[in-house]
Amino acid sequence: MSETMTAEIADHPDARPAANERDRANHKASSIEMQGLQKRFGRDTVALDGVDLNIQAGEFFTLLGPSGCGKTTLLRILAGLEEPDAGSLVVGGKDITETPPHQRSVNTVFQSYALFPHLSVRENLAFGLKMRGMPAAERHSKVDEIADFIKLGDLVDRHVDQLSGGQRQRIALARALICEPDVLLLDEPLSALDAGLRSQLQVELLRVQKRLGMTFVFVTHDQQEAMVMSDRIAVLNGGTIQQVGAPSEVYEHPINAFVAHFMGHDNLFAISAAEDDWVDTELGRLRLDPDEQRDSQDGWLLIRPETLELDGEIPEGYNRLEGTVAERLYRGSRIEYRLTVNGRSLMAVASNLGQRMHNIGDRVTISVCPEDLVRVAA
Amino acid sequence: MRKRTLARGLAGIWWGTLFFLYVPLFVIVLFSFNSANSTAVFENFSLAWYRRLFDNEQIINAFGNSLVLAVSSSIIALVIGCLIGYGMYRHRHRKLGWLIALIYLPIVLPDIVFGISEMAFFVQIHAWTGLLEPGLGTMIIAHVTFQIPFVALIVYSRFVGLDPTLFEAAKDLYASPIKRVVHFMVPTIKPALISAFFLSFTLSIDDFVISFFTAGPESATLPIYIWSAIKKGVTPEINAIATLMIGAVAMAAIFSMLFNRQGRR
Repeated sequence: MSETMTAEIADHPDARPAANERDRANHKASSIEMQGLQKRFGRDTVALDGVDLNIQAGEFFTLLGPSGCGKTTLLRILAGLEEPDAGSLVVGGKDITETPPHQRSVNTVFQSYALFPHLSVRENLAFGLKMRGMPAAERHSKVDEIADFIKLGDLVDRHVDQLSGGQRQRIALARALICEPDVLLLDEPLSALDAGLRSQLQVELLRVQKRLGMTFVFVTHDQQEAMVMSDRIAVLNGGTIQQVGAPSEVYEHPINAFVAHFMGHDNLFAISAAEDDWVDTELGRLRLDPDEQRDSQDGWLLIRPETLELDGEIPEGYNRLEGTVAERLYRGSRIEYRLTVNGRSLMAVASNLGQRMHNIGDRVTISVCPEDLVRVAA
Repeated sequence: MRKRTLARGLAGIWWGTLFFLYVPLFVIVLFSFNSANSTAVFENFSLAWYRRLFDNEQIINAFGNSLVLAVSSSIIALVIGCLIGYGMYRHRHRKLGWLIALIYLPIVLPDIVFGISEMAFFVQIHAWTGLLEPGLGTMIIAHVTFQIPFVALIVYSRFVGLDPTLFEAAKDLYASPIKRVVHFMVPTIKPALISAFFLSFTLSIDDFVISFFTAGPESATLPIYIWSAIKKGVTPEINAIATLMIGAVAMAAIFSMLFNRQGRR
């Protein structure tokens, strides 16, 4: 165990194995239990329609969904910035449904960062500690400690309006972490950053969470980001939870068409009839893994583009389709093809291993393993 | 060629405006240092009028009244206007938000109408209850009333300019309601508060019409004194008072601007 730890830290050249880090890792992490949470805005807008959700201590948990799905409302209820109309919220075994935000050991990294403009960076970082009544000398050393941990360097002595977006983001994170809350909430903290900085900070954020072992609840509408970061993801729509699971589970076995679409799947085909391990779809008749049998006759068949093989050897028992190449997108590491099969459009992705590329108009034989086909409820 | 003519014409408007703005002030300041008792011919430099000014008990009284009135009304207006400004900010999305516009009445109402109605009101109250005898007290009430909308507006616009998430961040970072006021709201809008105070101060020092209608026999302010003295003609003594007022108001205005700029930085 300790060997793997060392190996992991050695992977990160900027990691510093300090003694206080082990103390930080021992910091208590809290579980979250939500039961029957409901929230309406005005008469007609239902933001949350009965949410039951358990988040484990030390988990990186993501609330994923389109805008208006209720993910932000749920996060605000966790922070205490919004009061639920019904339901209960328990953090670390304590019911805090009625607790005002300033009495909750929960801190938030806001989307706009919300750094106080009238304070220096150092004063911003120390704000939470000061409000809790920590003496100035102790605050000072805590700020130095967190600045060291998040590697803020000389940012601490700057003024807030001298900071770039990425720097503000890190200050906002440090300002929340310094309070050592039971739960850290992150409201789309990376959405205002450009792509390069964003992926860099994703890794950094993940590393911080793993080292602290703190419970993180992360809100995003970006399924790629959700998959990279999370131990588990909850996909929300219309104020209800659609599916909860590990990234691979939600991506590979979406529970319904909404989740499948939201996780970025294009290849969904209506099932017109199902019998034993066969289904009839718009593409034709396809064989499924026996485990994929469902009681219902309808629903959707999901085909992941990366499971399709073009013009390869077709092993025994594999499904075989004929199509033509309608579009080719060269993406460098991979090549995407839009194929036309039976008048329907089917996406396929091939890793770019230097093989011959298919040209537009080429007829191709498509094969897919029955085990890679997933039935999805309507 | 024509372009140049146009540019010159426009520059002329600018210089003309400055001329009519500042030359009268300059003349007043200049003649306040005139040794002769004339507002037409300048003889020698002299501080005689200032000396006479400070020997005049009426003027000293009027100056004291002006100062007491301006400082106390500005402080009261700052507190009330600040609360109203925050209230306007908090309830800006309410359906009854238009009700808030009611406090802007003093800004658009002619001073003379405002002054007369305040006077009639105070006289009535005094007749019924014996309270609110015309004097500094009634003047302070009247001044506070017309200063409040200016303070409220400055405070409101400062709050509107803030990221609303800041209020939530303060809550989230363990600040109780009182600590939010002390450690977040007041420091954040401090430049606006100082700026609003100096604006109220200049408005009060400046005011003649409303003061005139609400003053009592003992509470003449500088503008009221000037008005009554001027009936005997403009003397270099008046010029000296005017010069001092120009200096005081200019200083308050400069402070107000400096603090407002600091707030925006």
